[in-house]
Amino acid sequence: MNKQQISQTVRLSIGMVLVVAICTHGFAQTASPSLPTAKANIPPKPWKPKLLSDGQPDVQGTWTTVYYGMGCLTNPTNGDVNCVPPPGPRPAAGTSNAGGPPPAGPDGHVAGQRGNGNPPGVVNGQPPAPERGNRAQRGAADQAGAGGQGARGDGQRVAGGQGDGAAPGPGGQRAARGPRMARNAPSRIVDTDNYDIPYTPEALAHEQDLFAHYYAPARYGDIDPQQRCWPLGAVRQFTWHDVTIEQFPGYVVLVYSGSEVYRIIYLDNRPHIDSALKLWMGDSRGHWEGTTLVVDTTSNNAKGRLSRAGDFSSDKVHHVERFKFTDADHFRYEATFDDPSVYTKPWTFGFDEKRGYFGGDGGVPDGPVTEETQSKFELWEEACHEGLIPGGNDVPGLESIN
Amino acid sequence: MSFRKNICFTFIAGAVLVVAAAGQSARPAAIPRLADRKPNFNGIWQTIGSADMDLQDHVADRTTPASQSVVEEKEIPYLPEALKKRQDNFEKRRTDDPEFAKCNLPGVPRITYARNLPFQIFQLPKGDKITVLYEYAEAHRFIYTNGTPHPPGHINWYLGDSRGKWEGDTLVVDSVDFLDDIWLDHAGDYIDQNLHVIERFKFIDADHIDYKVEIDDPKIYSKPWHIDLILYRHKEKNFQLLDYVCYAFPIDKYYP
Repeated sequence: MNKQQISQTVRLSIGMVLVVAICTHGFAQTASPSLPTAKANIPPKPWKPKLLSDGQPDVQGTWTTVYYGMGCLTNPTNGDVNCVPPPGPRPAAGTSNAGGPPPAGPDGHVAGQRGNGNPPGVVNGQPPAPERGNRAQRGAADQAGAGGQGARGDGQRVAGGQGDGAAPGPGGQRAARGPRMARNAPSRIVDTDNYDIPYTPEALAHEQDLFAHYYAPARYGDIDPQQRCWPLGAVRQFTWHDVTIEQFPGYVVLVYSGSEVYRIIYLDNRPHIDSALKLWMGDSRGHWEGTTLVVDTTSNNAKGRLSRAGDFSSDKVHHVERFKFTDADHFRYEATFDDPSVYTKPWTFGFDEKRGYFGGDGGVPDGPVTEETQSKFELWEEACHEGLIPGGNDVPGLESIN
Repeated sequence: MSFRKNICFTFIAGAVLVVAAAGQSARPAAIPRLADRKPNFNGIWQTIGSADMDLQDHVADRTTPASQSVVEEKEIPYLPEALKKRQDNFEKRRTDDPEFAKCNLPGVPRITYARNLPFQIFQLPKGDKITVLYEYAEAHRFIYTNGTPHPPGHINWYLGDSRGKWEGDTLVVDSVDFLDDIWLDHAGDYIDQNLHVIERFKFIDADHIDYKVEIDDPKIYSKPWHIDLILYRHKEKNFQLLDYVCYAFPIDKYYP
């Protein structure tokens, strides 16, 4: 993709901007970040993307989740496992944790609770996140905004927990930080009556057991594999940091920040690998239906969980993922979870993604976020792997593994 | 029409002869190229051999097959103090090799031959960068080919910062910005954050790449030295990268 040429084109002159905008609709990623807002007033029209040499719509670039957070699926606004509602008026009955959080325990943590999920309309109380001055933490603190690019990979920041409200390391180390701005956001479960996962009773008991032991692991297996920097799995990975989409003839490649993982989506109609082979990020075959990328994903090893709160699938899960691109800067992601061994019926995990605009990270200089900074952005290494766990593999209070 | 066909056949026959003659001479073999005429490295590649265990000549032991040195200079030109550390590393390799014992990302060039795992190169004509995806630890590298320089300052990265350019048909990749605690093999050969790596990718023929690496680290070596490996193309039908999420933890016991 020739971003620099495009950005030069866009900068030609004010008089030319309108013409360019019409003529290069598919290049709108280089236009001003305010463009999506302006578009909201225009009746939706089918998006006509630029097509690549093999006919794929051009959706390359770096994308970010509108609501970050993989702690709680039913109110996914922060990294905490507890679906803590905001201060002030409580959400209406039937929404997430309408009763409010229980008192904190002696260790300062609030015991986990699970309520109904927030309905899709819940987008309230989004106070601006406090500006975090440390460039090495997140480029854009506003989680609903630009989406941050992570640290320079000093190998230390990622240890134990990966920012964004990560749980403490297994040894309980945690730097002091200010109170979290609790907010509300739509549940990531979008098509069940209570916007929660339809677990079978046995599966729900397992989830609750993992949930209850999140801050106080009784067994190594209680610890979220994410805390060991193992891959998050095909779906959960989107709720964590950003994703760069690259396209090559016959392939869509997803490279994630926040940890060193990628996915290769094959568009060449090759068969899936054998179902006995299991992979952390699954085995993906895709095709385009207009501007929607449809991906069939199997062979999930299900070692990665779906949230910090113990949500899970089995390794029999079958996903159909849809990346519904609605314009040059937005797509809706939906993934079905079909797994009768743990769910009473199939359900859908969904959220919105937007194109990331960056400043002060990934080679982009500090200062205003512009189309030029966007064109210069590079996804930089943000390693997360086992060797970075503070104190090594042993967890105090548990048996030594060595 | 038949006259034209005859001419056509004559041309083809002539062309076949010319190609056959070329094959017998010292002319370079035909290599795949992209629309921009650059060598097309797209594909899945893999090393063969024992470089990950020991870059230099070594005899077989309990875990390692014997292998000849892949160091062009035969021996790595360590400075005296650094050689002592290398020997110390060797003694402690079972517990201290950052790749084997901790599953750290193994740096460049070790990522290329770490456990001889396959990796896939994605390259577009006139692309901004070349993307390399590794089965080892789901790692990736972006090799920027748009003429941009390394970013300012020293940055501590496992896989460094890589900027590539073309010298004729050779892809030359310059990498800096590494952190300490990276080994080049299981035998304790190591680098520090002053590492400067220059990799050269050049087709031998359509299915083999000569992968030559210059390693310079003035605090550790008396002069730059070189690794030379061959990258082999995977040609199996439907071959694809799987995952090798290196485990320093007994995952099967605790996460069955």
